[in-house]
Formats: sequence, structure tokens, C-alpha cells
Amino acid sequence: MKPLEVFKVESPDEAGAEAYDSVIRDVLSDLELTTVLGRLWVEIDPVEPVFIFCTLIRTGLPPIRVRDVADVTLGTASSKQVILELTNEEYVPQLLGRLRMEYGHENIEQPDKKTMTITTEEMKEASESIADTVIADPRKEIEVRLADALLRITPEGFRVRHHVSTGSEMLFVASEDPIQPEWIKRAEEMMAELKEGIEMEVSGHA
Amino acid sequence: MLEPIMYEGGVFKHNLVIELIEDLGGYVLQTNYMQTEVMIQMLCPHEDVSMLEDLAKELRAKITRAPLTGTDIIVIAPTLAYHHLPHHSCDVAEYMRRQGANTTLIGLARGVGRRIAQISSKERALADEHDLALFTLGNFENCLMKEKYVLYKDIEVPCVITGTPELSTTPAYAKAYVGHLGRIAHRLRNEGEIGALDKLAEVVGTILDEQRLEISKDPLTTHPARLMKEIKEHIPEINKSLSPAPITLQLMGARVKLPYSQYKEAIENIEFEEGPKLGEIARVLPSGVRDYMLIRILPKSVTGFVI
Repeated sequence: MKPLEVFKVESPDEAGAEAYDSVIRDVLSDLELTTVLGRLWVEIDPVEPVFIFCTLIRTGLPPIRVRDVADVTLGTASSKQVILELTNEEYVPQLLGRLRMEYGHENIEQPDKKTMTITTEEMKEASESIADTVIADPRKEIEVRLADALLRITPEGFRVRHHVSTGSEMLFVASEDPIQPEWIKRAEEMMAELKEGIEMEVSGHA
Repeated sequence: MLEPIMYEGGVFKHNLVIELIEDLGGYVLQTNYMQTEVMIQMLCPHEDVSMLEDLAKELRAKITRAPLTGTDIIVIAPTLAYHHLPHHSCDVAEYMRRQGANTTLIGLARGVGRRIAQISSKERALADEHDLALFTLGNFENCLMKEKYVLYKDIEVPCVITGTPELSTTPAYAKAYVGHLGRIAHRLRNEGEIGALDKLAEVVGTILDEQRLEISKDPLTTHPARLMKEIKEHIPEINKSLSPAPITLQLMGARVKLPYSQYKEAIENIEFEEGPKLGEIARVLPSGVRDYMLIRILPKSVTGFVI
């Protein structure tokens, strides 16, 4: 799935749909979500009134582990230290937080910008578990940003909401009146239609 | 006739401009200093504008006609949420300011939605204190034509509505409608958007000119700018106000940013050199904005004279 390979904003009011198209593009680019979403289909009917938002999230963003941002080596046997040579400084705050929680504040040192040492009795085991420690999960962050984007895009008065969210898709229905079952049904149909192409793609590859 | 003018230039020798305007019998309404730059809003007698132009040329400054000078406009967004701010509502308010108006921007407490949209009597009274109310609404024709009128139908001052679609008829109860200014999540800087803002300024200018014409049929006892000058001379405390416009001029009077409870009598007792006191030619009322006061000048038909 390419970024935003499907981008549909539909409404009986064409000028309104165009305006919402622009609002959605602006919000997605403000929150850096354009490359995260694969397909997006929004339907707005101001007369009903209902706002339906269906999207497929591009998967394939693995959690960041320590070994992705640093080379883990063992110090001398007498020093009882595990040494991390940082290769990517983007996740240093998360890394430090995680290590301090695990090994205690006093056992973590940073002699220079790109080096960290962890003092521990069981160096070998520690070096293996450190390398596998997850320090950041971009997918969780994306979920937070996507929820924020939805609140920004939805018409403000539409405060009655229904949403179904899994790791790879998000279905959202909002209105100012109680949510009607047919709106949810419509949203599910839209979601099924959005997914259709993907299954074909997969079977095509197979 | 006084011409509304905006002067933008360096601080160096700008006092010459202020002196010239005072000598010509005009009024300086507002002076804003921005580091080494200064922006002066003023009313200059029509026949003497060329003298001002010459001086501005000498000082390498820019002079523009600002048709909204001396007016007080309220920009009303459905709420203060990020759906409406800062783009669109603030941009509209700022554009009106650049044309010389003093703008107030408010978000309604419950202005969102269609069926659920409401305006409180306090908000309505606040809008009525201004010369014109500008509602920045959204994207759908159905909402604009059939639902949102509840927000402005009982407001007495002219209401201008902005939204996305181009409408063939103005929504009921509104004085005018300007399209292409609906919900926008980026700064208004594209060609069409600036064009829409220009059109809005033009529409607002025309409506305010109509108001001025209406007022001139039964002229005010004194000009609001004269009122401002007298207050500045008699009540020195006004100069201590930190507000950029301690006295905000309106078509029918002014809003004075001093506590009503303390200064009402002092303001009413200001004596004009022609004889009457301010309390005799104007009503001093409490304003809905903080504890400020609102002055409404009485027309000639009530006082029987013009000064």
C-alpha cells in the first residue's frame, strides 16, 4: 500500500467536500500522518447529519529496540560494564529513561555524547537483554496522533462518536444526534470496499 | 470631511506627522510602536491630505487610506477551538485590523453544530456594543442557509457572514455574505484566499459607509474623535492604560478602557469649551467587556445642537 493511494472525500455538497479535502490534507500534513495512512475515505452529509471516516493504516513499522540505535559491547571483566555506542541519537531520552528504570540511576553513566555505560554484575545476560529492550513504539505514537487528527477534522459540533480501531484500520462515525445503526452499517461497507483492493493485491502477488 | 489614513514608517521624526495632523485640525487615533517602526492611525482633513503625503515622502514612509479606521468590529467564531483558530478567524480579524478597524475576537460558548448551535444573551449584548458583527462560519450551504441564522437573527448591528460556498442569496437575517472563507486549516495566503479577504474588507467598508450615511441624516452632537481628544485631555489616567487602544472609537461613540464604577462621573463631568458637559451630549453606559465603559453620543435631534 502506497501512502494515501486512495483519498476520497464525498458529500452531497460539493463545495463542502472540496473544503474538507483541504482541511484533511492540512491536518494530516501538520501531524505528519500522510505517509502513515494508506487509504482514506471520508463521507459527510450535513443534512443527516453524519461524518464517517474510514482509513487503513500502513503497517510495517516495527518497534524500536536498543540494538537499532546502538552497538552493545561488553567492557573489561573487571569493570563489570556493558557499553553502548550510540549510532542514532533520536531515541536517547527514551533509552536513558528505560535503562535508569531497569538498572538504577547510579549505574548508568554517559562519559561522552555517543557512549553509555551500564554497571552490572551479570554483564553477559544484561548485554543480551539490553539489546532486545523496546524503547519506542512508533505505532502507539501514530495512534495518538491519528486520534488527535480525527478530533481536528470532525466538525466540532459532532460530539456523539462511535469508533472501531485495530492496529491497521480505523473506522469513525460522528454526529450531533444519536448514532443511527445504518450509519455504522454504511461505515462498515465503506471499510470493506476500502479493503477489497488490498486482498486482490495480496492474492495477485500470491 | 475627515479622511481615515494609516501611516507606516520609521520612528525617526514621526512626531512631525503627529504635530502636522494636530495643526491641520485632524485627530491621531492610535499610535503603535513596533521596535523601530511606527504605525499611526489618524483622521486628516480631506483637503490637506497632500501636505501629509509630502511629509511622508520626505520621511520615506507609506501612507494608505484605511476605510475602516475609527470603527469597532467584533469577529465571532463558533468556539475558540482549533477548528476555527488561529487560521480563518484570526486571519479575518487581522485583515480587518490592517484596514484600520479595531477588532475584538470572541468564540461563542455553544456556537457549534447545527441543531445545537446557540448564542447567549450576554454574547448578543456584547456583539451589539460594536459597529458590526462578523461571523466566521463553515463549509456547508445547508448549515449556512437553514441552521446557523439562530446565532445572529436577534443581533441589532449589521451581521456579515463568511463561509465556503458561493451563495446566490444572502442567508436570512444577515446583511451580507462572503464566500471562500470557510473552515481553512492553513494560513490564508493563496491568491483566492487573499482575494476573498479583500472582498470581505470591501463589503464591510460599504456597510459601514451606509451606516455613516444613515447617521449623517441626524448627525451626532460631536464627532467621536473629538470625544476622544477631550477625554485624553481631562482624564490623564487613560494614558496609563496598557491597552493598545485605550479609547476605541466607534461610529456612534467610543469604548473607554477605564473602570465604569470609578470614572463614570468624571467622564460625565468633562466640560467642552463650547459649554455643554459630556453627560449632556452622550450616555455613559457600562460595557460588556470587563469593567469598561461605553459612550454613546446623542444625535442632534435629541440635544438640538452640534459642536
